[in-house]
Amino acid sequence: MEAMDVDRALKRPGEYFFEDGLWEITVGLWMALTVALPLLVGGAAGNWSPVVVLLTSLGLRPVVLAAKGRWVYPRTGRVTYPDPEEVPPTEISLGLSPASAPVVVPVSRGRTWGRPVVIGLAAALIMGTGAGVSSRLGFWDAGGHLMIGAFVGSCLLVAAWRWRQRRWFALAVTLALLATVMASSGMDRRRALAFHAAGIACALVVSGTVAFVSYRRRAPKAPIDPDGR
Amino acid sequence: MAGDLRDVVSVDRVLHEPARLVLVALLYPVEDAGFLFLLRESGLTRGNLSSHLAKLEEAGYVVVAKGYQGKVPHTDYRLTGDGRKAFRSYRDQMQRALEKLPR
Repeated sequence: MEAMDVDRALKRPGEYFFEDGLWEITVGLWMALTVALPLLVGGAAGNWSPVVVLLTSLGLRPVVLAAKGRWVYPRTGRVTYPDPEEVPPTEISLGLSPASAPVVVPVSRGRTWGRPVVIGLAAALIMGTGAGVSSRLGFWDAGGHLMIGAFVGSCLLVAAWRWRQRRWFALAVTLALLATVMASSGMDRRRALAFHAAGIACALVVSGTVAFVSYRRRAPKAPIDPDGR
Repeated sequence: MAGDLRDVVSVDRVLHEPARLVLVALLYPVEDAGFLFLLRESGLTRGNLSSHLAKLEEAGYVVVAKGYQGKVPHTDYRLTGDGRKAFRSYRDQMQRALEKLPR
């Protein structure tokens, strides 16, 4: 048996949720379809609707779990994650937020209400600082892109450290560079936002696909009776 | 016997075995997990894993559910309430026992 400490064993199911890349592929495609595409093909105001984005985001988790059931679990084993609202805070601290993925900012209910408040405050702080700096430097229009880059990049950095997904460090740097390029592109606001969303979606899909292909190579198909009992 | 020592002596023998402790730690944060997942993550052989899981089942710490995904059979393991309680209690006991250990 390879050495595995208890703390690592407690965190492994959380890491397992993300390591096949299906989460990134799903979120990337969802973002392309609900944000980038409506903005690119829409009229002057764009056909982008935050309500549609929020409502469709509720379907992401079932889609990811169905994809895992089809392509991942037959190879490396099933894991059922508890619903986010059923996870008591003590167990979340042991590494169970993947239960709430793929919603990037987990929304919790009941006793875990403190978590969205902390995440909201951190987001406000990062966005506020970004807006303040960009305003002071005289490129307020570009500030939105920088704020998006700072927020998404920071979330990815924290998640990369928390769930030991090294590829997300590269993804965070890519998204920060993309934000800088979009901020200095000089495009009109709607087109720039559309290209920014498309860029984030592409980066997520590419990162997820690379992870998924590499996962399939590492994990050969299990025998017909994987339990061997 | 001092209270601290009594704590060490009364530690749960089922969980004190390293392989079983890792299995319980893998099951603790999830609702249930399949045999294949536990096999890959623990690094145990099939026979060893089956035997450790049987001991945990015997102690009432895990329950087994067999099912099919399409035509493929699978066996899932779920930590019971007693299993969760035993794991927390074992962790507390060991922390108390080891924190006074000189470095």
